[in-house]
Amino acid sequence: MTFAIRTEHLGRRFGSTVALNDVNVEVPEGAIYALVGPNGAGKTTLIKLLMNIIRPSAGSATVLGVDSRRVAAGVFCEIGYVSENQEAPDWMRVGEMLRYYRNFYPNWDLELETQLVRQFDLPLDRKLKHLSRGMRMKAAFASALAYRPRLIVLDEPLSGLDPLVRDELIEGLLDRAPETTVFLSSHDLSEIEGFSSHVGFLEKGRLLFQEEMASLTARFREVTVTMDGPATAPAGVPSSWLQVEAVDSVLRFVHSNYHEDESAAELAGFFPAARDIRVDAMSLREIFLAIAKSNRRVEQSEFKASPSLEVGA
Amino acid sequence: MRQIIAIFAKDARRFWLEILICVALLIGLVLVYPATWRMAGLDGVDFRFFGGEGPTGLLAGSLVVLIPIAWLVLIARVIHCERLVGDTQFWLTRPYDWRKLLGSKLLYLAACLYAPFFVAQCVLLHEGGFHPFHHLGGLLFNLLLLTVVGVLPLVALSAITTGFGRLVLVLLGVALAIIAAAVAGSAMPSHATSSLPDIVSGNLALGVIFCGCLAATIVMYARRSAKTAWLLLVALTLVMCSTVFFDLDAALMNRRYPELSSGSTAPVTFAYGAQGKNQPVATITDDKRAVDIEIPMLASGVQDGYVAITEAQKVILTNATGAKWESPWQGSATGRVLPGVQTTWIRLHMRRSVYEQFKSMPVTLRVSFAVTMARKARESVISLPGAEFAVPEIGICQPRRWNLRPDEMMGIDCRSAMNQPQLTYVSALWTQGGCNAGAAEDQNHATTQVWVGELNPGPAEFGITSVWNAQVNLEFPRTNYPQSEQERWSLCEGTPMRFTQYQPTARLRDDVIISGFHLPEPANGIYLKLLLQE
Repeated sequence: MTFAIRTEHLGRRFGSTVALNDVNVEVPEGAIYALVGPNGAGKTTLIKLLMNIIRPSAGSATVLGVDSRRVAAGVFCEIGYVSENQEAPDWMRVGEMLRYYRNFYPNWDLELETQLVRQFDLPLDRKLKHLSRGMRMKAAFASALAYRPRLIVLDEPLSGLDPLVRDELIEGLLDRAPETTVFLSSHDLSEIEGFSSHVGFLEKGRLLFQEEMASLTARFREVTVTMDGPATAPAGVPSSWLQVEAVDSVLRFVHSNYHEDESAAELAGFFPAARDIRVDAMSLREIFLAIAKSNRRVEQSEFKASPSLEVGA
Repeated sequence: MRQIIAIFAKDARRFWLEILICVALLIGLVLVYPATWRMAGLDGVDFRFFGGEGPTGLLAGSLVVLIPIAWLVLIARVIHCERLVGDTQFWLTRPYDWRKLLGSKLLYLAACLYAPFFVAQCVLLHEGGFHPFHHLGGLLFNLLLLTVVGVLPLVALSAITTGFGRLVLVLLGVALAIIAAAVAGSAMPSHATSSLPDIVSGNLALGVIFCGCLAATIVMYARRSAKTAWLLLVALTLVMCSTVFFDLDAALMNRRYPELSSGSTAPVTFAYGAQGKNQPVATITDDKRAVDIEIPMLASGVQDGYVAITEAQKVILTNATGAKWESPWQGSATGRVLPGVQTTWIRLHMRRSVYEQFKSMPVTLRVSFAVTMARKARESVISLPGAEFAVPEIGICQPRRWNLRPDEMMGIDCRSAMNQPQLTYVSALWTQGGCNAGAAEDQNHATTQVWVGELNPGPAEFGITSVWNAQVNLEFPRTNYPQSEQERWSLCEGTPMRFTQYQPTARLRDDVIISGFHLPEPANGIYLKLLLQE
């Protein structure tokens, strides 16, 4: 498998603050990889390292096969980058900006530019500084897609946008998806749930896990066991059971390694006296919350090597 | 190249107003400045950056102040347009090649700053009566100086700052550092006198500034490493400020001005020259911490066709107790010794404590002079015309006329191209009592002389204007406050004026020993000395 992005033990400190620690990200070519995590998790720092905007303190990264520290003019011809934090040449009109950028990309596709302008309904004669936030983001998308980049990197591109604009941008992005790799960050799971093929979860500068979306949603299940009497957690609970909680006669937990064929028998073995065992699919949001909470518990218990970090990795 | 042109075109479109203002100011200078040449004011016009007197001079002076400010804005805006500090700029993730980005900025400066400036300089030369092509070297050298002392430092400082406000703050910081160093340096006794001849420090300083600023600029464009660039520029500022305390030229004086070999005849000899009203004088400085001592010397032995120029001196004092004090090389108000015997003064600056130590008993004074010998290279005698005239040694001159008697002249005003002219000795014959024809034979005549220009003017001196006013301040034969028409001294049309140009030939050190010298008692300031000399 070839990777559009790959990091090895990547780290970045700002003074005494550790922004990223030992991060190993692998983004297969052709994937739509969503890097999720709460605000301050280190997502933007990771993207800036990949884009060679800042330099790593430890480890290394490759982007389209190039060491991130060497990502420069030539490589940027194949990368489309959009960030909510990036300044724009506000004094330019939209059309002027697109014309200006044409000079930098040998692969600039005029037809595609026209199509994107139409698709996003961009006003070519308006200055960027006079555009709404949504329109500015659309203009940024158009200027980052029109040269058919091999890799599209988006840093919180959809946050704060109204649903209509968000859908338009996602649609524009998915139109390009077959010919490119997308790496985007978000703190809002609902933004990326519908179209991401891979997901990585970053928290406090550490990558807790990364996985294909399909296998992730397949192996996480919420299990509810109802007993006749008071429920207690059985001895020898597997590490793949997260957030085990017993209330009266009900025991609940999240199974992080559920297999349709084997897990039913496993559960029956643990709870032979159960009145009912119910297994429910989980939303991405529920999965992330379960992982995040269990990880915090592990931290609070001062386990240095957290088993939950390896969940599904 | 396409990228360079694209960025350049984008910048030119965005900053059209800044460009327009710069060009307009230069056009204004080209229109206004030549008018000041024709003013021929009573006090002469000493142009460096500022114009002469009156509204026109004030306007010209304002323009030469406004032009660098406009350039500052022009440079800062275009560099900050693709800001190098920070991590949110739009261009960081676009295929900008740093060499092409820097190239586009240079192209912008070449087109919007250098080219208009070059054209303005050429037009001024043409207006001044000079052919620009003949001064191409000077014009280019001036552009180089502009780059080193102005453009490149501003580019470097703009590169390490995020905006114009920050840049102005940094400029103020640099100015404060230089002022602080200058103030600290002026407190040092060895530096309180005029500076030594510029042997290497001037060129070295220019080289250091050029390399430091270029390195900081390249570091910023190639790596956007603001920390490294800041370190470079702070180090550069400290090095430049340190030159106030460590005068590199002083260390090179002995090599630059070698001692005369034994047996060879000194091209100029010095002897203690206290006689009559010319006596040594000591003056305590205002801060009471130092003493300036002026000692008259007689200089002689200069061959015909030569001039000896004393550029600096150092002194060794010893007394009967064996105490010894050696001064550093101290620059002097340059003395120029022509053939014959001539009084010249040396000015010695010493700490008060040293003065107090040596003044109580006779001392032996060993004075070393750093002398440059110059030989007559060219001479013209011109009958003073009534209108503008060319002087090969200087440039273009015009008579300066009496306000109430425009038919009579009280001096000449000259202008030269790109810098002050080569050192030239000007002498003129004055007539007392008017210039009416036929009366010349029974009238009083007197000749006065003045030195004009510099010994080593170089291809150009840094300036906003390419035409310089050469000071030809011919003194009146006597104080010229005439009680009557018959007493007034004038230069008459047709009177011969001699212009003798000198070229340096050798540098040497000449020593003189004065035994039994008593350091003079402190006089009450300069007035006592003036009284004594009267």
